[in-house]
Amino acid sequence: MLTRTPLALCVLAWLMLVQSVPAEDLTREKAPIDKVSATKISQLIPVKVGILAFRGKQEALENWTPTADYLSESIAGYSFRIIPLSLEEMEDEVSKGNLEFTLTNSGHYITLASNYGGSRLVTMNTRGTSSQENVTGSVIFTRADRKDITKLQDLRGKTFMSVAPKAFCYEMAWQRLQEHGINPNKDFAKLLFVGFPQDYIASAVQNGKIDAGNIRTGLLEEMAAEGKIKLSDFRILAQKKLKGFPYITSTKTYPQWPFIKLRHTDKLLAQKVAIALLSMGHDSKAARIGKYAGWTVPLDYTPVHNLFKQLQIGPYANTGPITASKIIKQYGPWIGVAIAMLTFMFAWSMRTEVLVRSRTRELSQTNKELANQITERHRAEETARQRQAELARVGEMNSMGEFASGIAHELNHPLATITNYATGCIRRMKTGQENKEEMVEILERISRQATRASQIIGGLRDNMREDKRERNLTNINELVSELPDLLEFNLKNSSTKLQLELADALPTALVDPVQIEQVLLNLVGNGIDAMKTASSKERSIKVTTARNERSDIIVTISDTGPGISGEMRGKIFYPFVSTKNEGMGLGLSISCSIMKDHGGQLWIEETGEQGTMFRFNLPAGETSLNA
Amino acid sequence: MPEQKAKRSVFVVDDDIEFAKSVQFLLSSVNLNVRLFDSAENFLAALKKEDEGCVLIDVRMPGMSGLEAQHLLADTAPTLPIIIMTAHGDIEMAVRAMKDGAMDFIQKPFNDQRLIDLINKAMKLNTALNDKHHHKIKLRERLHELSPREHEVLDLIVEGNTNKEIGYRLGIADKTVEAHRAKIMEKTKARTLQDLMKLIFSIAGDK
Repeated sequence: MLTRTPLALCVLAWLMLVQSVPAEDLTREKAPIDKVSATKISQLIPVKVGILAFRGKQEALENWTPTADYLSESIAGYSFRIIPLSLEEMEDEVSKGNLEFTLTNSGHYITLASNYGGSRLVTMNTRGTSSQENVTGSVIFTRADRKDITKLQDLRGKTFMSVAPKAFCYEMAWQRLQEHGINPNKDFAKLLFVGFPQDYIASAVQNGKIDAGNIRTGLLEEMAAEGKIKLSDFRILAQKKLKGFPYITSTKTYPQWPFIKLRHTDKLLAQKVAIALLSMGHDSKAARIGKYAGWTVPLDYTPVHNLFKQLQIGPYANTGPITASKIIKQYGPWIGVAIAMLTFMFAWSMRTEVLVRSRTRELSQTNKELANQITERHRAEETARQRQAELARVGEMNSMGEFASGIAHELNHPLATITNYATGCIRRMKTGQENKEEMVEILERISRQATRASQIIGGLRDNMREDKRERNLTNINELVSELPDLLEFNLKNSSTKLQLELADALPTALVDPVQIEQVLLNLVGNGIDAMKTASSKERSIKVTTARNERSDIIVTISDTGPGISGEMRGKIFYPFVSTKNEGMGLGLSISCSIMKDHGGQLWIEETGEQGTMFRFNLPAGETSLNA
Repeated sequence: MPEQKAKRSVFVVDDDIEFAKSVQFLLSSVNLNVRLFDSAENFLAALKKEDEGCVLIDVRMPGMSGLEAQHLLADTAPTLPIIIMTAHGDIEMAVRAMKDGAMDFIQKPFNDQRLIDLINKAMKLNTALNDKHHHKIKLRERLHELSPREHEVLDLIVEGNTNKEIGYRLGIADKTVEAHRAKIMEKTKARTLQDLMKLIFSIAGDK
């Protein structure tokens, strides 16, 4: 596994790199929009003000356009425009630098300011029933008739509805729930986020579609005032009584929405906007339509920061003691990927190892077998080599055909040369071109070539002379039994059957086994060749061993070939007489002399109509020893 | 016995130089000019472009075999007929040589008359091949005289198009095609369309 470690480090480094990308965004300089202040063009400079549309975009546009108009009127040369946005859209627009100002909930402000820069200019006053408020809280509630839910702890295992995971009013509720030991992400049977407007949450709780929910402070009262609900239908959980705060709340209060100047926005314009907003009357038209009560100096947003710290969200998402669960939560997918990769690698290396081991085992097994086979083969080869070497010494070559062609090639050159010289001489003499000196020279050359030919033959005869070979008491049956193996190729090629009929209790003979084998091979080989040329129906050769009344060993070789004509019969044992086209006519003559050397004889039997039968006899070894 | 041109030779290639000399002795009795080489390599090195005659080469030699030399000769001296000399029992090699384009083969020892007949036949073949070769060169030269447009028209004629079709394909008038055609016939000295086709096919494949 050691070798895997650098790879794992690489994976981790890469994960960290991926995570660090948003941080880079933070420091990225936005192109300053100089035109806002620097240009003196008579045209109005557009200024975009993002608004968090928590009760729907249409309503936000309607509610806030008068405020934008108020700003356009108050600040010469600019045209303010309202852009209603969801939380995510606002984040997106801010990140792209598309907005100059934005108005959003306090929690979102903290996040935006931390991620993209920006500062609060003023804080909004909310329109109270009796007074103006500039703080807000969150209400957690259930149906009044739900006897099973009387305190926050009862919400464990229940269903819960809120507006959005990043909505400030949910975050306030979350903090309150956490104080009571409820983790909204784990402890609810179901946690539903339904988005803006929040009115739906009140309805859902009222209809019993959901066990409990939370909304911003003041909304229940507003809905009651609008006649949509009755406050008595709801039970407020963990209700807090706060001095000077007119609304029902379950949480502490936090500063109201800030009007935010974004990082790239011109400072002078921002000042003008701040002054214009602060000087707006509590009951101005814009404020009334916007359902707020003017603006106040920016409040301290530290409580919001504290809330975020406690919840470890927003800019504090990655702070606090590092716990395994947090890491898993944050890097979960990546860790999953890394673990999967590492597991895969480990599994792969294990698999490889196992495979390597099993293959190695198989290989060494195979090796052993191979080694055995090789030793066996070596032994077999050695035997074959010895056999071949011995055979080669008898007849230079195992098969008379190959032997003949080798010799023929050797002899052919001097003979062909002699022929050419001779015919050339004849032609010259016939046409009267002969020249005595030239003729003498050519005849000398002919003589030299004739000598060369006789030397080739002489060398051949020397090679074949085997006077001093060792003789052993040999079982002739054993020699005959080896024929099928030795001739396997020839027999198969010529589709010839070889039958053996071996006599029981055949006496041994004192012979040179190699020479006797050679005679056998020659006789059977002749039979195969004879049947090859003729269209014999059945190609079979029979080798029989027997003993006669004088205890001689008799071996008979008979084939079903065309037989040998009477004229040839008398000649076949002479050297250089052959019935075969490629034959040298040496096989039978050599075989004959081998037999004579062994005190035996080779002859051809009368067979009547067809086929050829050769027979030889060898004196039995014991008799020969006794003699 | 027809008289042979002096510059023509029988190129005898055999590693047994004594044998090669005997062939030379035999062939010189019928006034054939013989050049001897003891290996295929030496023969190929000495062979010149203008050499004419025929080749009598041994199939089995140390170094390059007769068959290998035959392959090389097919490219370098396509007009030299080749007679392969084989020994007793080399029928297989002889068959291969014939398949590869040898004119014939002859077994050693030779029947002198058969050898001389073969050589004469090879010499005649050499003359024919040379004539054909030169004729081809001449034809190719004539084709080179054609203009690019005439080549285009010729290609379409060979494809079997009528004047009208050719005119349509090339976007020219029938009359113009007719004029090109006449010019092609004149330049190639072909009298009929068949002559022209024969000419094209005779040099096709060896551009």
